[in-house]
Amino acid sequence: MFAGAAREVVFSNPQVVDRINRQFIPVALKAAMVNNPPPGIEGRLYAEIARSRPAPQGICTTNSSGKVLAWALSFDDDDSILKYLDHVVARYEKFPDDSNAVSAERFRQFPSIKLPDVADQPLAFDPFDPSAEDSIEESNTAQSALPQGTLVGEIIGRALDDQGIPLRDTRLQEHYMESRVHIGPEVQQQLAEAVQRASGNTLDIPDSLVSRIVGAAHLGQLDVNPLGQVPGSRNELRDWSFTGRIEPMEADNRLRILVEGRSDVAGAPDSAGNRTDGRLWENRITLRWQGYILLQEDRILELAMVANGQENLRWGNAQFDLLGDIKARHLMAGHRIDLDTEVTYGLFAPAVDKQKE
Amino acid sequence: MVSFVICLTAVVSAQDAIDRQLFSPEWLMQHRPQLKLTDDQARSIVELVQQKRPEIERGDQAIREARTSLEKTLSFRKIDEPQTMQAFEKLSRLEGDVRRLQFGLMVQLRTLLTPEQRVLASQLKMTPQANGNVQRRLQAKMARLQAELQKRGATGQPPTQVVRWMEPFSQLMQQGKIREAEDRLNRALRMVDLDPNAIAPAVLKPSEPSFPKREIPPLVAQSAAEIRQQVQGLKRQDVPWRKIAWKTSLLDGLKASRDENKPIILWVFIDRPIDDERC
Repeated sequence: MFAGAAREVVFSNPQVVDRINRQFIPVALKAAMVNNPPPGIEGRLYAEIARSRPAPQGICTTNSSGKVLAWALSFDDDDSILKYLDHVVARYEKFPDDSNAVSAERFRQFPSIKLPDVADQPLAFDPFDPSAEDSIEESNTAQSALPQGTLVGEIIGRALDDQGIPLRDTRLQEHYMESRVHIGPEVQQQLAEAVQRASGNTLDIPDSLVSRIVGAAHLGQLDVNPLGQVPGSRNELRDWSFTGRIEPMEADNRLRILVEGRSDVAGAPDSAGNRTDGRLWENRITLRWQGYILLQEDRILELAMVANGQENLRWGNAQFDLLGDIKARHLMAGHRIDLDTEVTYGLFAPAVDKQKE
Repeated sequence: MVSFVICLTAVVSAQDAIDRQLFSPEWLMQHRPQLKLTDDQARSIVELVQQKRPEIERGDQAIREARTSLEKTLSFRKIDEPQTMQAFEKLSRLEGDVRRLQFGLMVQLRTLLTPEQRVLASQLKMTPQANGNVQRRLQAKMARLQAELQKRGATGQPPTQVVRWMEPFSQLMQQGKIREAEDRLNRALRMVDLDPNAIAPAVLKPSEPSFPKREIPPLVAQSAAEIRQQVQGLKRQDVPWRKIAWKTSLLDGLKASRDENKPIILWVFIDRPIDDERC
């Protein structure tokens, strides 16, 4: 929830966005890369940042040498977010690079809950040294590698109003979601095998592919995955049926599979696993699907699906009553969600030759 | 290990006498209707928690860091025994400090209740449901520990130290020393790198989910072009977070920071806010 809340409360605030665009260089890193740095110069910079991290995720600011100026995990209120930016700009003016030692400040909640600083340590390398082990141009460790042949699609989800029109709000993830969907080569292969096995021109779409599609179609943050695909969650209901009708196409042994399906899935917190930190949630999504898949031998060339249905999503935490209504204070726990609405989803994975592989 | 689990059932009959008289803020707020807490009382609870929270948070953070430090000393090929013991003592002291803070908070919370509410709260804690919560919590922790120990055993890392540490657990439970038993269980979890605070049964989950089963109208058969258009029509280009031009390479960011003389703001979360899986 932490990231979703940060996105909603901090990085969707117009004043914050304006200040960041004017006064900062924004860089988005995957926490997993920072917590387990890869080899190379960029990885060593991640390790330097991780050295002072107060938690595995958070908002961090650095100077031009990659020295941490201040971490923040939450804020006293919305005004404190702007004050944090002021505070960092002031520190940057004093410590723009590694000419002078700078300790890393850490705020559990800015500015009222400050944790002990972490003392500076000189970097044992110069990230700008052209003879370093990898250069800026070569280093691209922030991009995570996907198996070759993976189809990368995008799914959009919208909550509908009582007239059946998508809500205009796009800030809250229970109203609007976008997410990547990856369909690996082995899943594509299983579809090709199902086509081979099909008697006549109809087939059951393999579960491996359906779960990729259905598992991504939910509002809210990634924690409320209904199929239990995220640590801390468990699947409570998994009922679906997707069938395809094969239409041979003339060119290059291509097939078009017209797909129809229905899905009814629900998830809840894992009762004895990780991340059971007081969160309380349930998410049930009932959808009717329609779309097509273009298949050539064992590769999906294009996939497009739309769905309409109903979603019941509730999220809460025992801490909410104690933390009050200021969302900036409980970024780590998110905010209350109580959604019972009609929804629509669209998934499109364009032809491979139109994507950057 | 099985005997540890069996003896958890003793929790019901052996509720710790001290524990019965102290109430966490979360517990009080959850039982607000039953205890008939007034708005003033609820406000005082929230204020007290917010007042104490910074110190407890700092203590928790110090414990996490002391634990990391202890883990580091234990990972050395040659263990420096005095340094390791020093790290252990520091961790124990910090854990004690936080326990003291939490205890002090609960004592102060108790003073906010009327004598009638205190009696009622103690009785509520003794109800089968309340005891069931303790039992479920301990069972959840024990199940997690067992799973971890089995996993480690299967990978050739027999957890003999942890099993030895847990030996007095059954006896503590039988004697009704629930808090001591849970402390021991918590320590065992930490010994295998698990956070006991992150393991709890879903006691807040409503027993009757309110999911109506509705009939979804069929979609109208569409052409491929119509489906593509419908998907693309759902996407909004003007979402607020996309107005920040995030870079995804830290080295690129440092170069820009140096060139433009600006600090870097880093998004460090599971997934990036743009062009990625949801976060």
